[in-house]
Amino acid sequence: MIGISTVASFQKNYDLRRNVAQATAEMNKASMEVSTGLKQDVYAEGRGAAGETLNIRARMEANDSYLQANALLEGRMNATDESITAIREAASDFMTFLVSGSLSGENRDVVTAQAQITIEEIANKMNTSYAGSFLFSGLETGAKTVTVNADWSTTYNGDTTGQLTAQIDEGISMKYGVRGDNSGFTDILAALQVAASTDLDALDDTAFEALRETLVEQMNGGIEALTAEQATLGDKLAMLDRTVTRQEGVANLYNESVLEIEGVDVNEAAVRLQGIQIQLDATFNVTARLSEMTFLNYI
Amino acid sequence: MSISAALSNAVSGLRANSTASDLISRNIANSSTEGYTRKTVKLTTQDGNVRVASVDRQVSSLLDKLDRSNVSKLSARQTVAEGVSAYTDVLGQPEDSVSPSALLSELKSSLITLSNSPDQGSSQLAVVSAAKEFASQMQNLSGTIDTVAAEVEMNIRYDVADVNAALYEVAKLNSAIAASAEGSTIRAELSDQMGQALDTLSSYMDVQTVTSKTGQVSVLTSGGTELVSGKTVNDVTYNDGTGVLMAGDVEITPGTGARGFSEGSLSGLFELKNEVLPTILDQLDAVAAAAIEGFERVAPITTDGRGLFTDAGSAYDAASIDGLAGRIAVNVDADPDLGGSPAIVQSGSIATTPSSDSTLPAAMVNLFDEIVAVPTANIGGTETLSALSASLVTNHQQIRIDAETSAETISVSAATVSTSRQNLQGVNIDDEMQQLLLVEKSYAANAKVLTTVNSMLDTLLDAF
Repeated sequence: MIGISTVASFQKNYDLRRNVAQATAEMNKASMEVSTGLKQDVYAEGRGAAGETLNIRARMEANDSYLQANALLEGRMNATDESITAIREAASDFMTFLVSGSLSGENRDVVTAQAQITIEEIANKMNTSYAGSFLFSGLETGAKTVTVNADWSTTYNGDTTGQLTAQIDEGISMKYGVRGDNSGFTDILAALQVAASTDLDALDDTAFEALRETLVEQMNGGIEALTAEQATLGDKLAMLDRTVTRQEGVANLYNESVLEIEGVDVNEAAVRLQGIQIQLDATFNVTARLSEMTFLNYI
Repeated sequence: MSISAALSNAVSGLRANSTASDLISRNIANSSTEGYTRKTVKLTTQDGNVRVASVDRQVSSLLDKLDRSNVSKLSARQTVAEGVSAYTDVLGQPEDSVSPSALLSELKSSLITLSNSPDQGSSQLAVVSAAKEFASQMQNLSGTIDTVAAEVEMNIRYDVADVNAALYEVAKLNSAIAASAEGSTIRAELSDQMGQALDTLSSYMDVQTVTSKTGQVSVLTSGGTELVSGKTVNDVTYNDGTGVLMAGDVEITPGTGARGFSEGSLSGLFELKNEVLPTILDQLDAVAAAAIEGFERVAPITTDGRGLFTDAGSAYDAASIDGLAGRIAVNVDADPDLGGSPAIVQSGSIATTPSSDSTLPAAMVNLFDEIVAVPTANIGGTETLSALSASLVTNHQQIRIDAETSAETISVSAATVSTSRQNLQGVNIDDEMQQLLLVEKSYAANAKVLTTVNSMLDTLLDAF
């Protein structure tokens, strides 16, 4: 007699259970994808691209850090620029005052007083700190840049060996610092010190005129030197701006690349979720109906 | 032909149907018992009587062999996948930011900030904190591998005990089968138990079986080493000192020779122990070495030349890379929790270094994009520190994915064989009930024959 092939009751039930378990696992995965927008297992589903996403994430994080650090640097450079402008203006104002005054001895003490005020003003500007760091102290940003002595001379307290340097991008460093011992500052302060400490009333007109010319010349030289420093600083700020603009663009690109590898099409996942729900519904229906369809009900 | 023959025939019919109903009830009762095989009665006729020739088990030796082979393969891959995933779970997904790659990225970011604000105490502290996070996670990963390795050792011992139990069960069943009558219900039941013991054994190791004419089963490893012959068992022993697995006096350690075996959970455990886990550890050590050596070389932060990372406080030693991932630590002189000062990541412990000198932080930032100067344990080709750590994570996740994918592939193809086997040997309750109806009718008919013949005899006796 030829045997009858049957489907084992246990196996039939097992198959249905396995189908339900698979569908439930897929539903869980799809619902996770819909809620997070990301693949559940990037390494398994992204295959070769998973390594790339780690590299992109590393570059993205470094890029973000450069952006933050560069924003701080830009602020520091702008503060430096503003301080130099203020120092230059103070020096120019004094110079204007000096050349416009009469040669008479009666008002020369005003020149002295103005020189002393200007020294204080410039010293204050040179001692500007940004985020707790002195801007003009070279690499010794913890040292107050200048102190004004009793004889109206000034002492530079900062570092004399190097220039502030920032890492603005991968492999790109930029020297940006302006030191308080720069000739621009020292020339202006030296001229002012002479004006502030010399007994101008004791000079005859010729000597005063000669001194005035010397001081004007010296201060002009200082102002020019500071203008040149500002021009260099401006170039570097422009370079920093270009770097930041590029980094902002790259940040978006990195973000998109990561999403491309790690992200899922949420609409597709939602449709898939719906499909699995229908499939599960059908499986449960079949299971229920099959359990009712038994020979036992007919005997 | 006689009335007495009719009586005898009816009685034989009742007996045969009793046996048939016994088997049907066994089948129904065991319809959910895994490994139970459907029994049918084979009837034969002799002098008009019906006789039970044998109780047959519905099995196919080919399907049994294929299914057991699949179980062995699946078990090996699942064991490897489970072992590795216990470790890769700690690595997390890319967005979790807990992998060595992500933590090194955070360290680099903190160094970028420091290189632009070298005099800021908060930036110096952030570097040390990020470095400690990285070192701590490397130690954690290394410790996880050690834990998994200890778990593997323990499971090898458990598996060996289970294998021996299954082998002794086979030997015991061989004795019982030899003592049972051929074609009997008892022989069929014992054969079922033998099949279950071999199924169990197959999940631990791939074996060959040879069944003798008397129904006894000899068990050999796939490489041909005898494990059970008749009532004799070659005990499987494991020496955890040497890592050698023996069957009697023959070495059967998976992966070491032709006489052992290559599938099953025991094989998977040995693959983890001898190949997968050591590879992962070597690669973790290589990344730790690259970090310690690199920072030490480009930016020593203490005057004795040690860098941001140390080998448990000491300088890098190329001769002691083994276990480095478990020993990597942040230089204590920079760790404020241990009395150090984070400021040395900027000053290099040199008192005359100006507070905003960014030479050291910048050198450390650039280190991430330099080709590493230590052996990389086959992680990748020529790699930078950043790329090396990313390759490490990807490699280790790939080991898990390969094992999982392989298990899934085997599982899909194995399901077909398994379903065929289960459908062949399993019980369909409806079918059994239909057979029971036939047995019931036949039994009733034979009983009727018996009463009718009895009545005929009574009639005959009444005639006297």
